[in-house]
Amino acid sequence: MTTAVIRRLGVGLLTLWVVSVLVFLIIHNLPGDPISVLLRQYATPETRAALEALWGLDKPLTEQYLAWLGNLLTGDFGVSISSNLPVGQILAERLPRTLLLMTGGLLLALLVAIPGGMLAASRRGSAVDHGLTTGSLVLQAQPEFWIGSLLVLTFGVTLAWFPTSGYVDLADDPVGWLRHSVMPMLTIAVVTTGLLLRTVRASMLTELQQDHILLARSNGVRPWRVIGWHAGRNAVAPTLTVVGLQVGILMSGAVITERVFGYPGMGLTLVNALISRDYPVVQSGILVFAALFIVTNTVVDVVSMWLDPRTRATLQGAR
Amino acid sequence: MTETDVTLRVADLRVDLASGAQPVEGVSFDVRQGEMLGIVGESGSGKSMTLRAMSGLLPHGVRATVTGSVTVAGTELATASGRPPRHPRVGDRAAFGYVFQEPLAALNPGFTIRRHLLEALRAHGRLGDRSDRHDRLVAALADVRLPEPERVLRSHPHELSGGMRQRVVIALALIGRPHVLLADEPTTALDVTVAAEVLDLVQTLQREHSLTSVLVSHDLSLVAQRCDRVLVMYGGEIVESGAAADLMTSPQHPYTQRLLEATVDPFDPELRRTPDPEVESRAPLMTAGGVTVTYPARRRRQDPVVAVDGVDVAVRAGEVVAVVGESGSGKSSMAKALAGMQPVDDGDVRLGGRTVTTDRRDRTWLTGEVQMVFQDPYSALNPRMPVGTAIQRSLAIHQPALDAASRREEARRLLDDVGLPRSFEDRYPVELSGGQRQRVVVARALAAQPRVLLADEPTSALDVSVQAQLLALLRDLVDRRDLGMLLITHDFAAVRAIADRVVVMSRGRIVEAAPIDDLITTPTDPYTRRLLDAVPSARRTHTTQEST
Repeated sequence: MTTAVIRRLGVGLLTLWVVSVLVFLIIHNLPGDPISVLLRQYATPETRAALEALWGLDKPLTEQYLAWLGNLLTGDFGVSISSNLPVGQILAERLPRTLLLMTGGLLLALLVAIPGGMLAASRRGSAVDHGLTTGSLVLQAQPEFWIGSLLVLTFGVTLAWFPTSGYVDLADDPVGWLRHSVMPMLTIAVVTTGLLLRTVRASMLTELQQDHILLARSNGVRPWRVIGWHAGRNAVAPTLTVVGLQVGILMSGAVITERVFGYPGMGLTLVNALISRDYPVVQSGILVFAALFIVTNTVVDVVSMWLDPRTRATLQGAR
Repeated sequence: MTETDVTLRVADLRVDLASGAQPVEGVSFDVRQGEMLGIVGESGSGKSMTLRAMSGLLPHGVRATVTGSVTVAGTELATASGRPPRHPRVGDRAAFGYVFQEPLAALNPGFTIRRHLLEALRAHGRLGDRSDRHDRLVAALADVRLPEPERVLRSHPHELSGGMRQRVVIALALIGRPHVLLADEPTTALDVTVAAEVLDLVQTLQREHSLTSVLVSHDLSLVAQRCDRVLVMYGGEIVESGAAADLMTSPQHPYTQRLLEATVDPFDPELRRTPDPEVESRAPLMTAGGVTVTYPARRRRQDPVVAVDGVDVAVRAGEVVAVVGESGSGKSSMAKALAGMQPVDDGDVRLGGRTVTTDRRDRTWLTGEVQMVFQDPYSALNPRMPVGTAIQRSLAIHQPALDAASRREEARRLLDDVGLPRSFEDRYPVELSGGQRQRVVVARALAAQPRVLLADEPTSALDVSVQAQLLALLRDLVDRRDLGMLLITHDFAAVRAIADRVVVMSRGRIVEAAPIDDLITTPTDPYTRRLLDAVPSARRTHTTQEST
């Protein structure tokens, strides 16, 4: 490990701690509480007091926070108020589903964005370029719930190719899992492709203006090799940075997408937990999302540094 | 000249851009086998575009129609209708090999030198057998006289020096065994001694590989010294062509005459500067004593870098002191230390009885005394601020007593002083040429009523004819306003044009300090002599030719 990476991880931990405080304060200061959601009109002062004592909600906020944080550090995420299941178990079950969904969506998006962006950049100003950039702008402007609903209507209802909602576990029935996951993945892909394509195009344009592209051309390197390899290799790093930042957008996208498709991943879990003011689930869920975001971006930064030989030395320097 | 002698023939080459501009308007010339042809012109003259267009290398995204014919070794490359083919070949050899201006930019930062060479070999279908491939790569680098070819192969471009990078670029150009080597300002980005080495190498290779070459440059002395024949381009056309010697002694076209007039030859005996005894008797205005600047080590277990090592410089009111050195000599760190922008580790800089520090509280005093003229007038001005406003801003800081109306009037007077019309006050930098912008930078500096001007390569971003005018302006201002001026530069022509005394720096130390005339005629330090020998000068070449 190098000092550069360690420093980044240190900043990441600090960020996580700030997130934990913010999440805790916000959720506890929202109007409403888990007990009124749970008991509704049957809440009496006695049962309320009993439940508050049970879940420790009667203690001062700082004490509650410290208790939660202390348990977190020992790996104990607490127990869900609404389902009475350990939060760790919920995360272990739901989070992988969302991650698969996000990864699938991202891969689909990259599959279109990378060649599309390269094509647009290499034919700058042509009809192809205009078509691709305008198309990405249009896609970028579509909200997930709208794309999701359109897909449900077309492929779920009219054509009846895919189930409109629900879930089968990957381990039980891989084909069924894929049938249930295709449309949510497509939804995520559609809304992320636009930005990625434009990013790839922009980084490629910068690279193609460089003198070393002229040198490659003057040495007779074939045009597609110049674009795909000489320029493409150097355009990876800036694109990667945007992909890292996109992870955040992907997460919020997953929340909405899972709701549209009734897909029981982390996003749907978080929405339901928020509605029922299930404090332990919301706090831990958001913290895990934040941690994922920070880790992804640290990895992206390190990989970008490694990709550039000029910064690679700083990574290797203090090994 | 018989037909078979001609290796490259360009006939009526035209470039029409989609925007309607015509950077090349019907250029025709021949280059004989083994000849080195020079093309001289200022920016926008179409000299680079000519090279690009004939070799099918127009910049990415530029939409242009190229017409005319290009014939290499008897084979016509372009038909009258379209662009020349991408990477034209004649027989089993490439028609052209290309050497670029800035070798760092011309090499892919993500590729090792080995990969660069492999890519070029692959493109020419000469990857060949795996067994002797490594030996052939080493041979290609040895061909351009690169020391330690094994280490160079493993290196990335940023790990090599400028001269080494340019040698790699030349090696790459030679891999296609080109008929014609096209070199577009191949030494402009290099230090003067390195530049001379690279050009020597090109000429040696030209003999060894029986190459024909075209050298494009803005530097008339350099081209005249190296080339057999020279074309002068202006506004997309060839305005004059002839033997290099004739061009230097009896230029015919008015533009060539103007260009020649603006070209300062440091060895021209007529440029002698008579020292003013009154100025020489003055006490120094600004003195640097034993200034040492170190930068912390970039990595652990490395020693800190000593950029400036115990340097003494003094400047009097009314004189120009030049600090000359190559890149890495410490001259820019010295400039920063003098301007209070770089902490000094040892020694001190004194100005008007006070010590210059980097302390923010001294900033107003210091900028009132020392003003900078920057290298790049394009980035030294705020593009969103009319130039009059830029000058008024400086006035508002340094002459707070002035009200808005008198600030405006003073800004106009300053425009007069730097030779710009008053109507320019409402113009934005983008509407000005490079030389005009640099004049605005000077006017803005004068607004602070400084006693010392610190000019860091003030002319290196400008065309030759504009350089001469700007230097004349700076000298005039020094004389009229009794300013002290420190000129930080690598350019001996600029030094010769305006400096009274010269300090030569190398590796952070002063190797020689002398009045300009003494330094030019009788340099004592071996490094200074090497530096002066590398300066392209038609005059010196001619004298040596006459004497031999």
